[in-house]
Amino acid sequence: MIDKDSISLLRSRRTKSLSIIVMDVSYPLDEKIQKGFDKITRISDVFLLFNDNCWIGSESIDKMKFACLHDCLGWISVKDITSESLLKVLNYTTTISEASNFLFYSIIKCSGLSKLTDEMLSTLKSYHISNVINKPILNLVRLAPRELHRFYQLPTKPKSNKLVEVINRLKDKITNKSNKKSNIAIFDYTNAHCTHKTDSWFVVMKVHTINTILEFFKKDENKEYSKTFKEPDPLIFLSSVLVKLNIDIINSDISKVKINGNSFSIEK
Amino acid sequence: MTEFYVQSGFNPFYPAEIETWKWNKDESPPNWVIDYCRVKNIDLDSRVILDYKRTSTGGVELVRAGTDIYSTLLIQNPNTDFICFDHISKKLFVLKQQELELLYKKK
Repeated sequence: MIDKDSISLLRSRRTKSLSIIVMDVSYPLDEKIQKGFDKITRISDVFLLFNDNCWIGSESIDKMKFACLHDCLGWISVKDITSESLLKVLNYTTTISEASNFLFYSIIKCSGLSKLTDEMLSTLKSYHISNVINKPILNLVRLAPRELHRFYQLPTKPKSNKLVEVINRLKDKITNKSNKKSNIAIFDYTNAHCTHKTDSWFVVMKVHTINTILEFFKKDENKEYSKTFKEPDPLIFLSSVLVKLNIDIINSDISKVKINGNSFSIEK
Repeated sequence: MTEFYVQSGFNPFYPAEIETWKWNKDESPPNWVIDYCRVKNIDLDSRVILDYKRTSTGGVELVRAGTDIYSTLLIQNPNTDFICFDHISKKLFVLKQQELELLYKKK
């Protein structure tokens, strides 16, 4: 039986590029999104990142079936799509032999696939062929003070009814249970670090960038850092990591980048 | 000491259930390793000693038994790598610790 939060691989690698699609849309897919989805599956292997709570209901389709029908490389369904789930997929697709040896990685939000144009696809193909750009392409935005506040906000204790509290305490005394501490874990801010986010829905990078990120998280002292991201958007984590590791990027959307042979230009 | 693992997710390229053993030259190997690897000696304590070679990178090469062509089973890092055996297909292979953690869970 397949465990929750575990990866299912459906076939072996066919291309040199992997697109990790974050499924942030409901089913059935919008027609434009479906077209974008089909275009992406034609030029790269696709890995789906599902949330457990999405696609539940009578109209839904089985996630495994959806991945099979769209000829995806694999899929994972997690409780919350966070940094941890993205790291797990990246680890899997760089370690396990049948699903590894990719040279290019794209992390895509499914909702954005409706905006996928033929120009973007040709830029993506040129990015795969040409050695002009070796840096990741994404549009970085500094977090607004309100967003920073939300990230570093201390968890609040939920309000409880005093009468219920007394009854619970009496119950514990009768059953000889020791006083349990509050369920809220004390959040350790020493490892938390989030300064940037991205407004791009399509992030592309080469495998050496992914390896640098994974090497960073292999060290014990950095493992806690990834857990500090509670946002449901893995791209926030990715952009913050790129800034933290001082990795050079092309600060633009892929739609604005034009690659012509041995040169490239960025539209403003 | 051997341990049984089952696949946590789904990967058609790996067996659903495996038995693992970590290489230790002082420990007598399990029967399924003895069956498929060449044995060098059996000492007075009836401990089986496998035919193995050390590689220049610190790894261990076990010689596969019963093959006409010289074929080996390479353990790159004996401290962390696991020798795995699928009892159904009778396949002997090596997994790194990270691979084992990603693919399998303890039974």
